[in-house]
Amino acid sequence: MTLLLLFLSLLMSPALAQDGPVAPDAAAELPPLVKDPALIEFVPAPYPAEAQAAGISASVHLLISVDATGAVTGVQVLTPAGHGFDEAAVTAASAFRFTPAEDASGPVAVDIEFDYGFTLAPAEAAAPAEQPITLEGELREMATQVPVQGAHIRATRDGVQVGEATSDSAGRFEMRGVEPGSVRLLAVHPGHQDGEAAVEVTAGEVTHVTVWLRSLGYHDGLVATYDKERPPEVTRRTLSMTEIRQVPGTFGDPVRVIQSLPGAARAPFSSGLLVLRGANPEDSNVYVDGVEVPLIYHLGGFRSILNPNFIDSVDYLPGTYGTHYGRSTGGVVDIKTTSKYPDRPETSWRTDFLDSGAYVHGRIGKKIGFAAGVRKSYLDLLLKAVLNGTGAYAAPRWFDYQAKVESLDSGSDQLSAFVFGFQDDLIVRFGDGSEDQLGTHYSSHRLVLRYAHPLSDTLKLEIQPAFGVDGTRFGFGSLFTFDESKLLVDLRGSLQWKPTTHVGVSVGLDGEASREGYSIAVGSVPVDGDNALSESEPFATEAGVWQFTPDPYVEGTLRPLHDADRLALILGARLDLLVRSDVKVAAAADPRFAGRFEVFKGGTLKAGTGLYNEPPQGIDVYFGGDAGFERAWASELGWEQKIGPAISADVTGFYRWMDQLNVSSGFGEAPGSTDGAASGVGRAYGMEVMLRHALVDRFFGWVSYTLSHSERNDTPDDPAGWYDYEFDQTHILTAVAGYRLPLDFEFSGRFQYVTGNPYTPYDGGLYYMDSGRYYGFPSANTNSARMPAYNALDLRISKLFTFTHWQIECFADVLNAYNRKNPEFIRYNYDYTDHEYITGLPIIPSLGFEARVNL
Amino acid sequence: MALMLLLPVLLPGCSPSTLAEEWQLDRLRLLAIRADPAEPQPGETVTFTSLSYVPGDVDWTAVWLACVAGSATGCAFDPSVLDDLGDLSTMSPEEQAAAFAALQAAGFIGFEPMLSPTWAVPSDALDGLTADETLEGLSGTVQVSLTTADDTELVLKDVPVSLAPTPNHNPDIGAFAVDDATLVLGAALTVSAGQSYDLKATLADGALETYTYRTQDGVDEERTEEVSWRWYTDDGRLESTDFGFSSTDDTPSEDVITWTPDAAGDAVVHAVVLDGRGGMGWWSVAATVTGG
Repeated sequence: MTLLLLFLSLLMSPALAQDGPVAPDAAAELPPLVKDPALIEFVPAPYPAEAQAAGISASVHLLISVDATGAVTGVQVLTPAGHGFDEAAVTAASAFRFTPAEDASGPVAVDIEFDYGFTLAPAEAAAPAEQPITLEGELREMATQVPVQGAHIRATRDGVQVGEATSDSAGRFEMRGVEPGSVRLLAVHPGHQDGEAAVEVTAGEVTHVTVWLRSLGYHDGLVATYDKERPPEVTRRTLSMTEIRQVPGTFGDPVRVIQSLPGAARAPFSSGLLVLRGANPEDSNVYVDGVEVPLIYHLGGFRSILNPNFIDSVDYLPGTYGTHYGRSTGGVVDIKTTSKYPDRPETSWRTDFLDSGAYVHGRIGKKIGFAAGVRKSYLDLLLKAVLNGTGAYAAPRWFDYQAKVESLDSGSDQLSAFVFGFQDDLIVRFGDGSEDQLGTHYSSHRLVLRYAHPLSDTLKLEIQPAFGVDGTRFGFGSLFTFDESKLLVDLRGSLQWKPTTHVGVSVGLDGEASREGYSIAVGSVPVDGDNALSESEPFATEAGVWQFTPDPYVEGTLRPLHDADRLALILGARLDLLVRSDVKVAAAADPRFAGRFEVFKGGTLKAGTGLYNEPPQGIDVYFGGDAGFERAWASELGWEQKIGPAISADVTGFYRWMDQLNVSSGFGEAPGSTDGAASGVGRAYGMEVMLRHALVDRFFGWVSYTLSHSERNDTPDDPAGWYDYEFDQTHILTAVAGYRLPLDFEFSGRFQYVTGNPYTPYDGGLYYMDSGRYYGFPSANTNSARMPAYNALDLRISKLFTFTHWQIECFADVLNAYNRKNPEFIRYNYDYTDHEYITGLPIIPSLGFEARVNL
Repeated sequence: MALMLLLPVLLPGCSPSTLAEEWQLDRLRLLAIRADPAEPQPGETVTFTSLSYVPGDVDWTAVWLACVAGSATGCAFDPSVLDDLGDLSTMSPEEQAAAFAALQAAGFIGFEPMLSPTWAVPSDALDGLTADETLEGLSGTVQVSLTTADDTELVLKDVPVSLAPTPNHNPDIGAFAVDDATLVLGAALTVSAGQSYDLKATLADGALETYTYRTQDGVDEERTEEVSWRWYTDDGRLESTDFGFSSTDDTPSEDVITWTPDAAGDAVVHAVVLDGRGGMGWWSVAATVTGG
């Protein structure tokens, strides 16, 4: 009896964690991998004598650390098998060689999960040498049709091996001397299920066969895992697509998963408003590939503005981020788009109850990658069919598109062009069956060009101009129309210098020029607004403002210790400049600091502090009076602890002081008495805890808890003027868990408990007889009452079917599984003497599918 | 962002509510106030009548105040006079007269049920305005506090004061019909619980006035009043296709509503019309609801 080693691996599947050296630029983006690592040198382990004697087979689950050269730098046993298997597997795996993984900046270090299998097998018959080739073939992955390199293929007849080969880089293999007749082929490869084929070898011919292998990790678009942060951001949470896709309540949309992370307050009615660490929604910025966009979600908050397939990663920066980002005092969400282009074009189609979308990506030749997507909603049509004749409703209708081309000639200049946009309308259907768009229309379009040029081995130049146009139209027939438009030109440029692994400097410009304008037309408006009996006349007005913010920044990274990863200190500064056509000029400086120190293996101390200035946003652009920058001073201090190969914990405390707030018009700010004056102040502070189990051994999950308090004071001289911020949520508890079941089923659930939002109660009202309306008497204490707490359970199950040339994944989401009637808003009766709660979404089951075909 | 914020406002509007509707008379209400004349000149005396709903057989009081904001006299009330008022029910007629005089001196124009509201518009109310401005005039404000032991209703009502050559008049409802059968004012109505009735109120001839308005650009425009209707009942429910998003009305001089009483006994239905210029009128129907 001889020994056969079967190597089964979850290579590149559940949790591939970028690790090791950080990217050269100080404003490192932690981009997704563009090339997966591949095993090129497999080392067989000796079969443990004890196990062999006992006739025991086993599999050892390993975590293999691979450096940027492809060499193995460490092996940990995740699931031991005993009987000497563990030691043998570690020894053998330590000698493996891989092709290095790469992200956009080049080779990077990664962690790989690997199952090292030991199976007792019959004796092998040595293949005669110098025999003619009688059997050849190729190995390809099912659905993607990608050649499988490095697979071990055995040919047996009646249980006796008659041939053996290893597939090359094109997936091809050859066997010599296989006698005519029936043989059975068994192909084994890490990351794939074993492939089998029955072949009839014909005398005098070279028999050809194609063997299809099924991947063990089709879903695993490779995005670095949560919490493998890199400076300069103290808290950067980059999410694994594998986990993201399975988080219930997101409708499979990667962006929505940030609502399950610490620091993000729950937005009412799935509205998708971003309330990060107690900041105003308008104060948190959303970027797509570094270009700011006005919305992160389509109307209704069900979908982000990008096709999910176009998204490679979502960077969530709730706190002290680097000088690369600006014009915001809150947090940042940066959506990175795909840079993966398969050799064969791959198309996909996704449909569920909200919308349908198509996506295609591939290569033109070898040096140009392309991707394109389009999506259209039909929720309004479904509601029309379901509710026809039973009453009025309002429903969003959206459309979005994306297209990207990119040069793939790594090592030289990189050039890409990306165009994307969306259009949203709010459809209102009345009880009598008539329909109106309410004149509501929201659109945004962007063209982003990117050029990167290595000036030397240590110096890199990046330039990214972007052009955009946004439009808003809102109206009510001839009674009222509001139009707003924005033209913008962005220019990002940076020079990144990294002479050694211990020092890096980045100098850049983040400039934006925009022209924002609005027009208002009202069919009839009272001449004297304070008089209910006033005569009315038509009214129209328009205005426009040019705004220019050419913000330079610099950031330096110092890694003073021999082990450069242990300590990183980042110091940067950003100059905020504001030049407006209404002769307003303002300037402010944002010094920022962040640091991370691995105190001991697995335990990292992190801290950051900095100033953040923000030019007028929203209607403050027009009506902000003398308001210039709103300002925040944000700080955080935290500790990360790896508890095991799969489990990590993170505790972060934060404090954000806000001042120069325009109290008269900002959303979430109570109307102030100092109209147009930037005199308001605010503070938000709290603690975030996250305990996470990465996707290992089929399971992933996390528990996040945020304890926080966010307040505002519109009259800072009055210590009694503090009131709870509109979205202040004392407790936010989220638990997410997912499990990969056999037969490609996946099941996951999410539970959330959130303290209710504050509100200002009314106590009766005054009847203004001529207008026929009651005007409520608000409490003197702003936001002195709270809505009841929110809690809900969301569930998701999916099943993947894989065929030779295509795949289809069917999924079912159940939102609010126990149909909790969560109060979202408060509604008063006509005279403010009584109230009731408007509850949120009821239980919502959603079915859908996504089909992927390789052309 | 603006539309993101708008959505939560619009979506809830479509969900059913269990709160009391404005047309439901289930608590103390002051539904309408009629000033005669509707648009007085300075120095004229205005009398007020009101339409109210007081549930049950309980005592109530209504304190009336009036002034012309922006006038030379201004609005200066002395609320302390109420503290010194004492118990009117135990006063002699002479003492009551003195108390009422003190109230009026402090800006109070009525103290119902003892003192009916009457307002002598200050003769200097329009002093300081240009001749053109006096045509548009100023707005007098009447404030009423209707009180029972358990409830209070606060109401504001504007009364335009001007020298307009075509002053406003209160609109009168000239006819009332139930299922197209004309109902004489004050006539008894008997209906069945659970059955729906179409109630129609029609303005009297000439109630829809035409007047001249000088725009801010100085252009004189001939305008016709745009009336609005309100209905109230203390039994059953009122439904109208005009509720909600109605923006046009082909027959502004009349209004139709469907009434479905649901409890046997006495019931009332009020139709109130407002001319948008401060004038008001109403028609009240007392009904006997028989068991379905």
